[in-house]
Amino acid sequence: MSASLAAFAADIANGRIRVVDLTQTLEPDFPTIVLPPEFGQAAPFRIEEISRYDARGPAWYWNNISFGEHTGTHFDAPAHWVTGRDAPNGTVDSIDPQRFFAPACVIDCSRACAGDPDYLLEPADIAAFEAAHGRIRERAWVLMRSDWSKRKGAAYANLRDDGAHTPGPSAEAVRLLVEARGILGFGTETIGTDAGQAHQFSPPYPAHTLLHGAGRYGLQCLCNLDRLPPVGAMICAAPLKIVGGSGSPLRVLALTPSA
Amino acid sequence: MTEAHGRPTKRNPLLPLRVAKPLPAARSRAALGLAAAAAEGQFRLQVCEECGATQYPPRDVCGRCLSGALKWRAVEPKGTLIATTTTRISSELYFRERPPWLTGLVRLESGASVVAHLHPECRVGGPVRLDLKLDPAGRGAVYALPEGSAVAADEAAARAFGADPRHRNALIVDGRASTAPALARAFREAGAGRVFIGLSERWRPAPRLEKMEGAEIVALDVSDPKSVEQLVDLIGDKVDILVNNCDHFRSEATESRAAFEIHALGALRLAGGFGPVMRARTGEAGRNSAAFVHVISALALAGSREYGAYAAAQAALRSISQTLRAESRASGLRIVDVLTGPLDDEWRQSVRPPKVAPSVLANALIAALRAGREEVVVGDIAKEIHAKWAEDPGLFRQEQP
Repeated sequence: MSASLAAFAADIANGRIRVVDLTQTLEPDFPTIVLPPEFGQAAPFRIEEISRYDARGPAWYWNNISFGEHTGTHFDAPAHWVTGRDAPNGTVDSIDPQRFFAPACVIDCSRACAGDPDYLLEPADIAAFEAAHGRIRERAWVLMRSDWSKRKGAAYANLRDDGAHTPGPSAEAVRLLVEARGILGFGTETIGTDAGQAHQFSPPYPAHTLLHGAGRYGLQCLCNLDRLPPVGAMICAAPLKIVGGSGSPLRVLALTPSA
Repeated sequence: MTEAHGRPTKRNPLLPLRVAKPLPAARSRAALGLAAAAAEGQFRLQVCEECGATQYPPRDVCGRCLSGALKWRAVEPKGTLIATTTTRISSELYFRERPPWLTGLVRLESGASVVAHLHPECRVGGPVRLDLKLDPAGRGAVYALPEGSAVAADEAAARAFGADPRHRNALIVDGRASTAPALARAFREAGAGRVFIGLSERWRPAPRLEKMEGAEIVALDVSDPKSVEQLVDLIGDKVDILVNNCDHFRSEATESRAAFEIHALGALRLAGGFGPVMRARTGEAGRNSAAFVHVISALALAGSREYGAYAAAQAALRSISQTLRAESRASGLRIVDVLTGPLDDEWRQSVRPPKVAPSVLANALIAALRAGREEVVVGDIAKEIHAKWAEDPGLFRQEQP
């Protein structure tokens, strides 16, 4: 074993490295993205018992589960968006597994989001973050902390007559992160990487359009971002190996130095 | 049967449950024609094609001329009461619980004499109006009311032969369906006890719920097996009338799985979850379970080119309803099909009229429950489809565009 892997194994064993679960529990009641009814809809998570130590299977318990690729805490591959349709290795089964481990920058917007559900992460927020914590590294995950994951049910989906009202990044912020910083991907605590009202932006859905157009990834419905340092955490985000898949629910883990 | 029925008293939980006492259900195939007519609210008897004699009881050959050409025909439901009997002690468990029980012999204008259950105000020699009812065994029985009297309905008989919503609790499964507010209002106006409204995906806005004052909102998503199980655990023994009004009317091919998930598998989950506990409570003194209703599109019979998956899921729902009826017959739990034309709602904007106002559907259901029907057809389109299908299924099949 290499020295760094040996040190890593020891640090995991003795707790010097803490594993933080950034994943929401997959359950039927968790809100999913709602598109206008003329579009196809993502199936919600469902679980159906096959047997539970009973006549259907006396010594074993198991379930059949079903869900859309973009359900619960999930990963967006470049092929998810039309701009990423031709991105090389753009589906979850073809992504280089080396990309599944990357450092994280956590930009804390929780205070602003508490007062404004339509809050947008702007280049100024990124500048302030970099002033305090240094320049965002290439191929890092940038995670937008909004504390939105602490909301439940209707408050989490926050649907009104004119659509969802949830925070996200502005087009300029995404452009800066993708083009000037070369990030690996962008992650949020809300149902999408884009803001709830992002269909009105220019371009529409800038996070989807720009990230996936550049072959980058998305993570959404994350939680426990408040337990991560602004810089210094490593993310493990490996989607299911679905043939030609556009994304998948997954377990997102963060490794952080214990305080 | 002869006592006025007030608000049911609460059951003494220390006494054993009063279980349903099934009436004999065995009938000849000929006699099932009475039940078929009663299920649809028709008054039909066999009439001989050769000599014109009206038959009672149903039989295989004419009682007058021995011809086998007997056809079920609508007969004027009027006659004269010629004799009565009061049963005070019966060997039949069902009647032992309900003495005294009045029956009588009614001479029809067509000449046949029929045995009928009697409203207590019927008098020998007086004119009576007849109704064919499904008895608690789901078999056809004739019920007589005094003709021309002020008696509109006998509530006790309605409870014996029907599924009157008065004082009964109702569960309306789909609070997002356009029929939900009208159903909630109709049950409330019919004097229902508690009205539960199922609501899926409670994190989504549900503007229709604002129109349902007094109803109790419960979490229910028929596409989620756990959700159905949890509601059965919570209120299974409180539901006396269940109305499966689930509606997922979409033309897009992407939604075909959802159509089956909601209308077919959802119906199976409801039947499997609520069916057993409702069947166990049909005989309970006071508030008892009475009916399990499916709202079914008439496209179940006709199919549809534009809404094929929806129509197929409706056909599955009708089949599920029929299976549940067979499973429930011995218990006396009535399984009601509301066969409807297109509803007048936002999902059917592009469907041409005539359409069915949700309130019309709700009122038709309440009437069918009171009368104890198993099938009610609502709206001009459904009536036409049903009539043509019933008259000649082969011709009907050829007729579909």
